[in-house]
Amino acid sequence: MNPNSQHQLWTMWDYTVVPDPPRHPSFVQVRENCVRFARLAFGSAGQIQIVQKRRSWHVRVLAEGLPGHDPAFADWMHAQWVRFFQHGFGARCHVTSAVKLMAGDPQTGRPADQMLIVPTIVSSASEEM
Amino acid sequence: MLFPEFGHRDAGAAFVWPDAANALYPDFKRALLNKECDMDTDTIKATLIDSADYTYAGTDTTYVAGANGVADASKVAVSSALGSPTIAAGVFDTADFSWTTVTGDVSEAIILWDDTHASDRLVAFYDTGMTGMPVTPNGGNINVTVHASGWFSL
Repeated sequence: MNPNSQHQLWTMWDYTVVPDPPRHPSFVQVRENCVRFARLAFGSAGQIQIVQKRRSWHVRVLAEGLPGHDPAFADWMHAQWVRFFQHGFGARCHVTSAVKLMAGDPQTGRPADQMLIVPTIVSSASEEM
Repeated sequence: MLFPEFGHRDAGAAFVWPDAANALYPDFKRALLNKECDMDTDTIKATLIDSADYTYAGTDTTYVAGANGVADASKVAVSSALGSPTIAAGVFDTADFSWTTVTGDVSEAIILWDDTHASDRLVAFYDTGMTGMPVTPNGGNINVTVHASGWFSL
């Protein structure tokens, strides 16, 4: 897959959730539900990363083909996610939302953004072979 | 060709290394062991590299052009200091970042380096398994997502 080829559009959706205090769902529960909802909301092409921090959850979704640079669409999508989080983390959970165009035409007249995803290096004895 | 995955000897020729793969620079490992690098407080930067003008060598030590260094012609875009560096559980990670309004040659690699000390020590080289590479700068931004498992783990 080349995300930088013509007509590709990739956006990164970031959500930080501070749950309503009584709610303590397990990581497995959160992961399963977030994956299911992301697939429903964004379609199948993409990646999701879920990080549990001490008092919050961080959900990042890299999605293909969505007009995240359109404020109206972004607001609508954020509203869907907030409603989803309120079901799982409680009605008074606090959600911070952000979206960034990663690759594609920003439709502002400036050149298209491009995206790179850097792999990780695992340093081990075998690396020295 | 003998052991092509490890490089080979052609008759009468010097040892030929295979194509570079993602790697930590050996001198960086030495520097870590010698307490010369502090990855979550040092100024760590990333540079987009044109592989036509730079080839990884395990003997390279410095980002500065010259002996054991990185040729200036290969440096297509340089980041500012990478944000939110962390070193949890042996993993070095930072926030995602962007090179803005990038122009220049087609690029195939990224070098991570430490801009804190005069040595401008090389940290790691990436040219394999990168989604989006090679990238042709078009004057727009190049947005970089760091792997979920960070830049590297020890």
